[in-house]
Amino acid sequence: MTVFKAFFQVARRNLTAVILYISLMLVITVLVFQSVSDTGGDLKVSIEDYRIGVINEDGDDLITRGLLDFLGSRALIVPIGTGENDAKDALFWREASYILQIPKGFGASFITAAPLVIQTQSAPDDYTYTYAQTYTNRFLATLKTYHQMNPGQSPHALIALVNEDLKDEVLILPTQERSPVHMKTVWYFRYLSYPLLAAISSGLGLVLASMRRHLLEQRARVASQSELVRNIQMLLASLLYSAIIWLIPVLLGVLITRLPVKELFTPRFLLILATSFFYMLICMSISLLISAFTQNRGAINGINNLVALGSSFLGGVFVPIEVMGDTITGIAKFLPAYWHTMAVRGLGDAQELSGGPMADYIKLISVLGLMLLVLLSATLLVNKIRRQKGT
Amino acid sequence: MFKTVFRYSLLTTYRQKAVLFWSLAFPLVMSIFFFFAFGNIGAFAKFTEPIKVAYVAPQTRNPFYNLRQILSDIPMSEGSEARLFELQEVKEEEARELVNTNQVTAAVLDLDPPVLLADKVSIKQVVVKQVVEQIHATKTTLTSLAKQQPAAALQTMGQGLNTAEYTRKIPINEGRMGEDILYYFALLAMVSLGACSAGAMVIISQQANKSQEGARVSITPANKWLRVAAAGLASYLVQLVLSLTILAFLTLVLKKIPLDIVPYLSLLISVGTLTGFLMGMAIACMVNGSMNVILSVTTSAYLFSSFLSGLMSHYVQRLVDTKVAWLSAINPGSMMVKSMYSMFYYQKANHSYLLHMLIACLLFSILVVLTLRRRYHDSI
Repeated sequence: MTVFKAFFQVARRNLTAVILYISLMLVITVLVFQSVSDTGGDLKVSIEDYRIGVINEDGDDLITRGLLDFLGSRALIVPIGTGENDAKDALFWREASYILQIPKGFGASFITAAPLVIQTQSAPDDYTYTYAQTYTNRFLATLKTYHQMNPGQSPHALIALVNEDLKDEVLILPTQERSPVHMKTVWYFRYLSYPLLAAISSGLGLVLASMRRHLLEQRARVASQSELVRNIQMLLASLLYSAIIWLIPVLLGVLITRLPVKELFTPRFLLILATSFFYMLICMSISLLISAFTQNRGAINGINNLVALGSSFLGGVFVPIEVMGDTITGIAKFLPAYWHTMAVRGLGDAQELSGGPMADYIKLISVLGLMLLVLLSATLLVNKIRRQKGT
Repeated sequence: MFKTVFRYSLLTTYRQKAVLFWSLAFPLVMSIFFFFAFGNIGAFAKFTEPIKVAYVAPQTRNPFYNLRQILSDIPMSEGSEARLFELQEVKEEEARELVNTNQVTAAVLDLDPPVLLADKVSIKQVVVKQVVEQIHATKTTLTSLAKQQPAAALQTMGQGLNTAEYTRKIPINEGRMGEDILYYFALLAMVSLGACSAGAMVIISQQANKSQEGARVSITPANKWLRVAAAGLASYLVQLVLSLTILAFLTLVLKKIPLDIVPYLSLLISVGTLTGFLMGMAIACMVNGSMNVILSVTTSAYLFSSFLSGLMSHYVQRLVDTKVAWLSAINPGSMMVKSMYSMFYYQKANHSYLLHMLIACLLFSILVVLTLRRRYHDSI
């Protein structure tokens, strides 16, 4: 096992750089996980995600207060600050999708013939504001109708009537209960494709750049050991090395998503884990292919970063696939990251792991398998051409 | 001597493939990735097809209220022939099956109040919920009014409930609210701060114990500070040209940066590149290691700074800004992105960020002077 041992001797020499890189990737993963978890992530929204900002210049007027209490029961009223640009920032960052500016005297004017108008601002392309807008108008229209029917009634009594009419909420019941922990785990493993590709290809690239140096290759060719044996040892060493790197973010994922122990052995999680392991093999073969082309450390680093970031942006890791157009989705289908993302998402979305969802999963994994074969074959081909050319 | 070193440094910097890759090719390719990945943002929210909904009728039908009919009659948009919902009436078990197999967006159970069955909550489910809720609220109010005054004109009142508007949308800068712009800003910050490695190389190439080039130039009669200044200026100019090339590409080719903010962004990039450059010089002076170690540290520093400024997720920038404000205040990448955001969105320059960057430049320069002035390599 000379090549196998030599591989890990070289790996030990590059340990500092690899640890630095993996740590950076882990910090990035944790920060992104934290930020996306806070904002809901992906395209999914909860009905509690209706965020309204209020600039109330009318104080504690009964009608104004009644409106705000009603909206507060239907949506989350977020504090937006009083600074010059705070409302603008809240909309830009989608911390509030709808901002109401209630003018002074609004409540008093509402029961007159010419009520003041509430000024609103909303974020573009954010459909959730229509919910808040509809309910604001609905509350006020119902109040106005009751007032016209019973002009002598006090605001308290009118608001009570309106609240009674609008108290019913149409609930959305899931067809299957799913814990938030589970969805977080799915999100984490979906995102993992980026740090995995970046860390494995860079870490492995450093070692392979040394192992594949021209003089070293020429020296190995005149050794008694056959090419096949050397390649197998190199592959096994790469596999072990990549598996160690893979294990680190996987363990971190289990910890930060607070996955319960009983979930660890469910078929769903085991399949997610298997998909991630399969993707690790793809990352390893990408690194093997890149190092077959060049042994320049700088070039390997550059190509790895380009491949990792590019496939993550276009493969639906950083940006949901639904957001990308048909053409880009077509291009994304040539990237392993796309199939990995689809497989993990499919496992997360499936109600039951049988029938259609399982057939879809097998299809997605088969495509990944095919890609793995193509990458490994391409590596062997490049190596063969290089050997024949004597380069 | 200054001219000679300057010219030589200019040529060597331009001929470094790594510099051209990281400062030009990499950001160009990244910007193209961004362009494609975010190109369709916003378009996905528009409905072109009816929403498929399963309808489960109540056990006893109300002769005065037909939810199924009301839902079927709602147009896709005002005056449109097309209908918003494509309804199919089924039994509850069948409705569940249709939801589970993604054949319908949701199932409406016509109870009092109605209930929706869904597999997930996204824009389509929210639309169904909202419409059903409004229909139910109208029904409740009209029923209550009919009890109070049976002779009231309920149809007119019903229309008023659904169409009265007490709000008015005021125009805001909606054209400049796309979050994708932050990725381009973060990319510009990354390119500017990428001068970090070039700054480190200037120091490395002047020190005899760090590079062969350093050993060669250390025995020339030129003063150390003159060499550093000439090589530094040449390298900075190359970086600046490359950064401005990326800005030009984003503005003229991808058309992501509006022309009105380009002059300010150019100034910002000039100062940002200088900050990155001097940061690299300071790191190279302070880190006691080989060239590879120094370059690893500088690369990690500027990539991490770019990450914090939102290169991989714009939420990270906001998270750092709101939860770890001190980190955002000292991170050159965040300073650049926030300054660009201010100019782009508020359309008003916030010079405080520029000032912070200039202060950072001053601090890095002091560090360079203090650490480099005592370095002699007479023994080498």
